[in-house]
Amino acid sequence: MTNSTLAIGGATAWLAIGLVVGGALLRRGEGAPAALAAVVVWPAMVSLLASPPALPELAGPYGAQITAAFAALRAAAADAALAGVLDPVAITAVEAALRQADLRLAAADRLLADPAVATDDGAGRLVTARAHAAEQIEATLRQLVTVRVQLGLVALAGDTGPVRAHLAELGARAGALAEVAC
Amino acid sequence: MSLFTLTTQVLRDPDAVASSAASAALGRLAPPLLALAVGGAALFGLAAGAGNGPLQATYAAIKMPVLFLLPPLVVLPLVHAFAEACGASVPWSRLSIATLAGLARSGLLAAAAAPVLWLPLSLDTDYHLAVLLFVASFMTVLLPALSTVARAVPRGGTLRPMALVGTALTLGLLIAQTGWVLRPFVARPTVAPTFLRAVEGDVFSALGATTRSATGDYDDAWAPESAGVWRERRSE
Repeated sequence: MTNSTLAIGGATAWLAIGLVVGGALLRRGEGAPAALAAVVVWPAMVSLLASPPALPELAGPYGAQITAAFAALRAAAADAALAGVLDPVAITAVEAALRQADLRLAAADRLLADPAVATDDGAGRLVTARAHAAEQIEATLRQLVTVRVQLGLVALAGDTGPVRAHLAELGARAGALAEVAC
Repeated sequence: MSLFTLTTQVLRDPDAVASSAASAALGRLAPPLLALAVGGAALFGLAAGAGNGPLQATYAAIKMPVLFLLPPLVVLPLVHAFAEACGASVPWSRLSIATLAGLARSGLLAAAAAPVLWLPLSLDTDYHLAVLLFVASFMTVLLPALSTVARAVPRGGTLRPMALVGTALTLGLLIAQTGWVLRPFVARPTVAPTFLRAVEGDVFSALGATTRSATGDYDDAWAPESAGVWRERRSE
């Protein structure tokens, strides 16, 4: 086997693995630049395949509040004294559901911005449904603060039951957001 | 974040870039960091080969990013394993983004060092001295990348220094031999431009031979002995 054959074979194998990783990243919702980078530097990007799917970057009217609320929750949960109390996957699931509801709210807002839709006979139902969905999102965001308060109690008392139950309730509420918003 | 902003941040505070270890940050930052590393390395390669004409400069510009990226990426799982074994656990995403941020910083430094390397190489410097100059420059510009990766490994492991030394040694060996396989970057003035030369021996025998030659101690066989799976001898 000559040097050239080895070099071409090695490069082809490297790029083939990179294409597989890049394709998998695309299917998981990563952007095209990240997938292209993965073709070349796949050993550095392969960890993205093991992480939760990327959340949509688009944001609705509550986007900034959702980002701030979950950043605060994750920071609190990352404290050494609270290690393992909250399941990161469960937190991500609640966030994903909340962001989806927020995006649907943004879609409703865009529709209502059109005078033709806003003056339609059925627009009243849409406005009512939008207001209800917004209330639910706000309530979920308030509950996230409560979860942080309970995390503080866990740090002092060590009873993780209530905070887990609260997060499960949040999950259920976030899941119901899809039905409310529809 | 624009490429210009990222460039500034990579130069001023690569640790801040490396610490944005969330998976979303990795997906977002990897393409521009890769572009900085590849671009800088290509410029450095261009300068290294420029002394032997445009064709050799182009060859070197193509090969240099490979030499920049391949060894750190190949050694990445080993770095992770070393750190874990020595009690300094580091998330994979953090290690990946620190590696890319470090390589981007080294790429920028390589781009800045390219004129400094080009100047002596364009002044008919002795071939062996030029090779040593190239190796020294390359090792210097790669130090920031090593430093960024080292700082990404959290403190606390009792054997953390051992993990870092093991990583540095492995990476150093891998970079040296990869560079040897991908040579020539600085071609001999009497030889026609070549993309890849036949593989002979290893980098250490070659560096020993070229160091002797640079100090005027020429012998009849400066080239290293053939060894390993490539049992080919130089014909010249």
